[in-house]
Amino acid sequence: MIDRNHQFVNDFDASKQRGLIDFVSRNVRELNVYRYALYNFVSTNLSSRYRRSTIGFLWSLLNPLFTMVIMALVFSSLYKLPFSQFSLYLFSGLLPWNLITASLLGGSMSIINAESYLKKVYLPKIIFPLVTLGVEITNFLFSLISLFILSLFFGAELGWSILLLPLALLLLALFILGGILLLSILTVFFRDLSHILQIALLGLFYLTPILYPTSLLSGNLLNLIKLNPFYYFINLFHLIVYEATFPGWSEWVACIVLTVLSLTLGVLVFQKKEQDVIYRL
Amino acid sequence: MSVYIKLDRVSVKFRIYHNPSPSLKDTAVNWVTGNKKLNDYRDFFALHEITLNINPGDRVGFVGLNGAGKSTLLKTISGIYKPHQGKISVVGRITPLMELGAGFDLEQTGRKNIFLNGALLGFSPAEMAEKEAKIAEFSELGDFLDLPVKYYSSGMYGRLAFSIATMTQPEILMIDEVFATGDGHFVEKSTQRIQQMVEKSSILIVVSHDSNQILRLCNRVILLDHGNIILDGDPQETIAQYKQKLASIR
Repeated sequence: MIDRNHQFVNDFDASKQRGLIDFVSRNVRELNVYRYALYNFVSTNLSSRYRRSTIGFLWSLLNPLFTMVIMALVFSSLYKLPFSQFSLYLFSGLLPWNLITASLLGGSMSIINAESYLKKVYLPKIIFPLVTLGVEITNFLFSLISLFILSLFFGAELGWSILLLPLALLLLALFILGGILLLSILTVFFRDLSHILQIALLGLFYLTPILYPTSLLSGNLLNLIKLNPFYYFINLFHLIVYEATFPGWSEWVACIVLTVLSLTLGVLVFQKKEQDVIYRL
Repeated sequence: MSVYIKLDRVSVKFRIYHNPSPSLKDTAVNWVTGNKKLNDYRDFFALHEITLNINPGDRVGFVGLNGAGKSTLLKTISGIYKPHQGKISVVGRITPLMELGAGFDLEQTGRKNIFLNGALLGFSPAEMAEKEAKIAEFSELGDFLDLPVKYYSSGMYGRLAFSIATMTQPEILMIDEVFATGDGHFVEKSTQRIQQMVEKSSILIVVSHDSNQILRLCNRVILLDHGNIILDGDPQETIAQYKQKLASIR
């Protein structure tokens, strides 16, 4: 790696056990040096996504917006609920869900797709999962703004609880980060993982109350849904945005525990395997 | 701070898998059927217990047949490969002149790529802004600099990559197969610049198949074979042995 004075330092002893503290401190140091690279990867990634159409950036906002409006129209008439009410419910669950799926799918391929960089220049590997997360969170924020405008236009009511949204997003982002770190490494060793992931996420989508209200469920089905970790995060967003209430302690604790578990697992696997990845790319 | 490269019994091991792109499906199927063949692999040492001390003033040339481990050694020194055994420590501002243009984003303009590439080397946009004019001038790309890199000819691409890679004077200069891109005029100019960098650098490492070039630049030559150091020392002597080796496979 390079330090602030562009002094290159490579100090590696294969016989030494490298622990978690070493991993964290090294990555904090390296990310500080390579923060411009991280920023550039995120911004070129975003701009190339939006460039290829005439009204470019606008499409990326309108597309999911219209998709959600159509879904809200269909399902609100199916459930015989007022559109404005159901649309807010749908949006507040679907947006974080899209963030989850896009990040996990993108993140699982992040290191494989960075092969051309990793084999030619030294870069901290953690940059690439972080780029995916950065890109998807930016996308999420853009759609969030446009959906807020839309919801207010349709007469939805928001409460003060909306102030907790950044906190909920932070928790979700950290939860996703753990998953991305884990998947980015595993996919290098099992190349078909991203296909399996796609199907698994589709299944989990229907196991998460997004298209339907939780009140529709009872008994075994409700218990099944509570086994789905994503349920707790989507629930948090539902409470804050749709119900406009402050989530209770139990809801926060559930998400915090899941986040700690996911981050621990992700960081442990990443730390253990990141050196081997280069030999399997 | 002093500049040095120290390798202590460094080994880098590559695994050649029977199945280079493993999948969860294959793993599951193999587990059920008890078929072990797909997970078979063969270890081979690209570098085998290399011990090496390079100090200021050393101009080291590496020679050896294809697959001897020369490029792997350079990549290990620059931190891309982490050794499986042994200890490595390198201190000094380093410029690896290998894989030029590795970080280029083809969709972006040449000018933007100056900044992108600088960031990969840890330079801030402000630092790169200072260097931008010099890089632009040396590359002689003119207005092309504001065109996406994907429209560049390979010569133009090489010129930009070379101009960025050589923008700072390193303490450790690593050259993997001295390249010359562009037209005659640019080849002359870049050869001159490399010559300057070589003279000012504290440590020089050259990998080349051109014995004359090695003899001209180096005061210490190392012969590698299958990841082992065969000979380390006097340039004439080592080159002579290398030539013998070359002759023996013909």
